[in-house]
Amino acid sequence: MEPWIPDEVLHTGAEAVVTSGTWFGANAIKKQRTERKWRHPELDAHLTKKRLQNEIKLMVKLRNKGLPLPIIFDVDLSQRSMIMQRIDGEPLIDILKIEVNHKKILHSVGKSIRLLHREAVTHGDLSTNNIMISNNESAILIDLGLAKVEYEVEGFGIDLHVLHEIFRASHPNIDAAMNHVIEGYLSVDADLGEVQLGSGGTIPSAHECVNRLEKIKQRVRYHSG
Amino acid sequence: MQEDKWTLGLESTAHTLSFGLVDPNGIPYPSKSASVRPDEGGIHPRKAAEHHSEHVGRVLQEILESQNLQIDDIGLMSFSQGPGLAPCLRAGAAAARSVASMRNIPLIGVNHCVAHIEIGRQQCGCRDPVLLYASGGNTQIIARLEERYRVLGETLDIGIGNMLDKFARVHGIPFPGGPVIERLANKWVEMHPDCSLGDYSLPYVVQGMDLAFSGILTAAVNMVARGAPLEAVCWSLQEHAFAACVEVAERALAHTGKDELLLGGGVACNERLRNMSEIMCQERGGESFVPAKMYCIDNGTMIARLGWLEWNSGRETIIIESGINQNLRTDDTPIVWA
Repeated sequence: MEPWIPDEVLHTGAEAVVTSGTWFGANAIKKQRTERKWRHPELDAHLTKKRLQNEIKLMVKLRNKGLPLPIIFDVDLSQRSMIMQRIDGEPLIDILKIEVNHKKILHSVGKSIRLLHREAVTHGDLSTNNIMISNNESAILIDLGLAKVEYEVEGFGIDLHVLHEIFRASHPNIDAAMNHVIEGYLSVDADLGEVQLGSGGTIPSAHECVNRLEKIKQRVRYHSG
Repeated sequence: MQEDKWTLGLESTAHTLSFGLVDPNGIPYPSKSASVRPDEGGIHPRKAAEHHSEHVGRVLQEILESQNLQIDDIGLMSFSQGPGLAPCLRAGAAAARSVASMRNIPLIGVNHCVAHIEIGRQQCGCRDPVLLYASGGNTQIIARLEERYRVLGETLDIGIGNMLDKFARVHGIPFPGGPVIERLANKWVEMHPDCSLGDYSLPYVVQGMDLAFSGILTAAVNMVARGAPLEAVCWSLQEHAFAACVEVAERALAHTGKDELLLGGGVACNERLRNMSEIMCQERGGESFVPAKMYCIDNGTMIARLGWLEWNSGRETIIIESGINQNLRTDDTPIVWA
């Protein structure tokens, strides 16, 4: 029996095609990074390999630290593919289409981002497609290909800025979405206290990161707050 | 506006002063322009504004002559209200106000970035594209949601065109640097078809749908300073910087579920960027659109076109509201015409 039995293509992303299926009978997804023919082949191979390795390394590390991330079942570097546990839930982008009060969910999104940042890791692509909301309304950050180890406050501020822009562009009708996220983000430090010194330096506090987000918003072209 | 009158557009957001026309049916006609070409350094906003004021009469004459029109044939005066360099915008707005009040015709102030999108849609016939707007000052990824064009991602430091111009300036290439960089890059590929890009590796900065170009600029300048051939670095600079733009464009297509990509801005004149965009869209089963070069760069025609669209949807800019807004955002402008 083949261990991987594909079912249907879930998403054709900018980096990979995501297919649902089963892995030895367990619900799984396969993330197949495909060649980007528009990019110089050497650059493409370099970026793809780096991002795949990065994603695997950080997923394993962060899972070990207790962050809610899918289990990696299988990796095939030569095929640029990985198979992992399928999360029961829906991407935030779809949840936000339903007309209800999203405050609680957005709060938990902020908490999950801060928990990631407290491990000295930025996500690098915090879009509403890459945040899964599980059935118990907790937020799971997926797609760590652009994630990286970070100690500078600027990196954390930019991470939040990506999400801020997506809220403004794709979900403008959701009142104060980013404010709810920031509340959740700040609540983690209030609950867990200051971050312990990381191996590469001091991790900026939640307040410092949020202040930097405000500065970045002022700095980009033609800001309006 | 009487039905048989033309719309005159005036663009003056940065280095280019340009008049353009659309006919009574909104059909665009090529612009007439005058651009500041600094001998050294970048654009000096006040000097550029002086240049615009100095040439505005002559260029106006040229545009009218180009279609055998008299000033009486103009029924609507459209101008760039923002965003851009404030002194340049003011010079244009002042000229537009005086044409409108002297001829007693309505005035309409429009959004420069939105004008790039609308001329592109008109020229290419695309319906609901994601726009990669790559110019000197701007690098944005834009898509329509409901009644606004919204910015999904943008450069966090300098525009890509600005980066290319600065790299060029350090190496004695006059403004605008992009076309010469493109030529040098092509020359390198022709002479060294098997060259490894890994030998000229540069930073590749993508944060979600945001971009940044100051790091690659510094690295590229340093690479030449350490002895790498200028042509090789031009090639690598294009390969890295354009790939980052096309990657965020692809991410925006995936995020929004749209299948059309439209290029705009002066950097969209670059053949390699056009080629990358085309392959990317083909691979996704989408389509890439690029207007003719004269409508990628800043031009008065796009301002005329958007003014015509907005006027026909019932908008007008009264004199006391005709002040410029140098920080006008793409999503400040409601789309009332389509």
